[in-house]
Amino acid sequence: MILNAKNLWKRYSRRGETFAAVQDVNLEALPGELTVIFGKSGSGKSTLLSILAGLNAPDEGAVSLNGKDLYSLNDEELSRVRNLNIGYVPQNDASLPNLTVLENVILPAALAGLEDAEAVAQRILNSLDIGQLADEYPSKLSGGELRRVALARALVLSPEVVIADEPTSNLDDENGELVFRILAELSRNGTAVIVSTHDPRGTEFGDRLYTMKGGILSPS
Amino acid sequence: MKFQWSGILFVVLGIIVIALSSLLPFCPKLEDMEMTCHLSQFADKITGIVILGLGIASFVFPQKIVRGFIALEVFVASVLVSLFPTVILGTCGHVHMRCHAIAAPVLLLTGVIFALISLVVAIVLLRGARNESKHD
Amino acid sequence: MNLNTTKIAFLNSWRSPFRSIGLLVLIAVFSTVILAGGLFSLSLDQGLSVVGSRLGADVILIPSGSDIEKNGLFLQGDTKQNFLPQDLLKFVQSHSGVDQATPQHYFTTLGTSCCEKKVSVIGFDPKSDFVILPWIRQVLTKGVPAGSLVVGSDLQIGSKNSIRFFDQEFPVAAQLEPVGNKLDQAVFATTETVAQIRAAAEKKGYHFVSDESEVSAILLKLKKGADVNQLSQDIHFEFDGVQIFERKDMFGTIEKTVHLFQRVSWILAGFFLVIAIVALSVSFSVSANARKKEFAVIRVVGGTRKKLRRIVIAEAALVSSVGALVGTLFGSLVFFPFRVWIVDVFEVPFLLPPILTIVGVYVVALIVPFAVGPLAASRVAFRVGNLDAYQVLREGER
Repeated sequence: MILNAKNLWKRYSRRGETFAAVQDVNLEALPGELTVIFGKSGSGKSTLLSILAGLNAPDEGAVSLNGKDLYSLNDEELSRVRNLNIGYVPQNDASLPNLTVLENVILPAALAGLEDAEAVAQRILNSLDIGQLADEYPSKLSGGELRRVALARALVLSPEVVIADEPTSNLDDENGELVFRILAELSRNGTAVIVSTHDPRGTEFGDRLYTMKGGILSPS
Repeated sequence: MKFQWSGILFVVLGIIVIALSSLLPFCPKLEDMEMTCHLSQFADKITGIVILGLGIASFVFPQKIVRGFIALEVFVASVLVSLFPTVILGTCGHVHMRCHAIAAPVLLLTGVIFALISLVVAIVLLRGARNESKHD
Repeated sequence: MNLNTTKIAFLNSWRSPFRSIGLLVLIAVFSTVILAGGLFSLSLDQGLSVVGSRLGADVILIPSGSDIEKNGLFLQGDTKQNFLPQDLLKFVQSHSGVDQATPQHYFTTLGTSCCEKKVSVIGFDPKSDFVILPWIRQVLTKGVPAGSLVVGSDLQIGSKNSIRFFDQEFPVAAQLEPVGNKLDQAVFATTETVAQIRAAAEKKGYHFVSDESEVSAILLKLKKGADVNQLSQDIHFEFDGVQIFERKDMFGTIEKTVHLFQRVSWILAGFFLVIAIVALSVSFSVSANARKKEFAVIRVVGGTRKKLRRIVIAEAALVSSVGALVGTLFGSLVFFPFRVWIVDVFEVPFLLPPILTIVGVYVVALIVPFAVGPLAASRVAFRVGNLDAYQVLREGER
């Protein structure tokens, strides 16, 4: 058992009214499994993934990684977990504009104090078919290319868990297929992969399928 | 011929150096005396003309790499502007003479400022040239 | 490739040059003001202190129509060629309130070419002098040899160790230590040597309005408890055309001018300090706001809150350190080459302080501007460290 979420609740206020973006969610992500969560925009998928990634503390419930409650850790410890154990691909294509693509990808390694991650980073970029963009700056890249840079960055330290929020949005068919294949291969190699998507190919590649609606997660 | 920004800048810098060399208080040339400050004035004026010429050359050669090297030459010329009246040739020995107290320090400061400006321009242009060549 | 905090900060600054250069220039200006202003102020203090120590006289008598210059001392050769009444010297020498009285003669030699600047000659009586001789004795213990000159520190002596007046060479017995005012360009000669200079001038066809007996100024040392007002009344009763200045009048004028200049430089430094801090704080705040997503990404991939703060502070420190270096360079270029002109234009006593003091000013001009960057960025750094990474990333979705 690697990533375990129990009785998760997350509430937000909007125009004076409180609503639950995540309602009593239980989820287990096992090594070697690709878990796919479907759902429309606003269903709570992104919020759930952010909680699982250690970025967004739930109002109730707990997330544990290898038995350790993530949200009981201090900032240094939780940051270390996010750095080494979890690779998170956010829905937005955020990157550091003053670093090259290669520098963006090796950023997690730099934060971990590891040098010589360039070769690994280049290999990952090559596998995502953007190896030739290593020395470019993010401003020169398309949305689809930026998505793949974010994915490469999440994979550079070979984390135990990869959490990807809409990884194939902005990608054409060919590259979308490529991304799913890579995620599937990762899971086959022992990584626990959790993906949220609208992409119907998720059913084809996923081992465990869920649907999220109104904050409630249910098996598909 | 294209009016590149770096060329316009160097033309302006050259005009300023020529103007300063002409207007600042230097001693006039004398028949019977070697006037180092007059020589310094002359040298700085010529250097100002060189800078102006380099600025015009930038219009003729629009390629960033060429303009970058032109900027480096302007850098060297600017350093000479500051060194002619202070180190290389000098001015009159009496420290309170106007050539020593006013003209030399003004040209020293001007030369240093222009050297910094041209160095920054050179870096911007040569970096730009390098980035362009990466895409080719 | 080592992508540590410093490198990330450097890359952020290097690849956003316009923002960095703007802030750098601000810090550089502040550093320039501290260096140039600090050296200026301390040079004024040094000049004032030396000038004060040179003021041996309690009272100076000068002709009406002459002006004591702003630096208040030893007139620069009065072009009006006014002189004191003939018997005034004998009168004050015998006055009950006067301990010592000594005459001085001033005139200016004409430069014969553009490279021979006009030189002020101050003639003094070696038998009665108590103002110039103590100063000269610091460099010339045996007194001034006959026919010799003692020159100020700024005068150029030729290879023959002499100065030429009206085609006659006069040997230079010594060159004085700097005072920081126009006395550094003056020549001191005994009355005997002054007579020789006048004779040389006459040979060349220059005629002086006065003769040797006419005196440009009389310097008095008063007896303890002497009443200056009484002395002044007595002089004015007997003689017309005499101005009387006390030491405190002369020195007070100089002091007021110096303190005014110093106040202005400190106000300028304070002004630029405030401007620098405010501008940097605003700039860093705006920049941090625009770069929220970048910081959020760093959090997502495992950057701690401390790391984020360090990156912000490192960027600020980088910009302010380069700015401080550029500013001290610029300040040096403004102050040292231009200080002679400053002395000539503002006519204030001006002497470079000791080398250790100068080093101290440089240290301050480097450290204080350097500290402004991180100080201005500290609040922003704290805010950045506290950002909610997930909310920031989601902001773009809406």
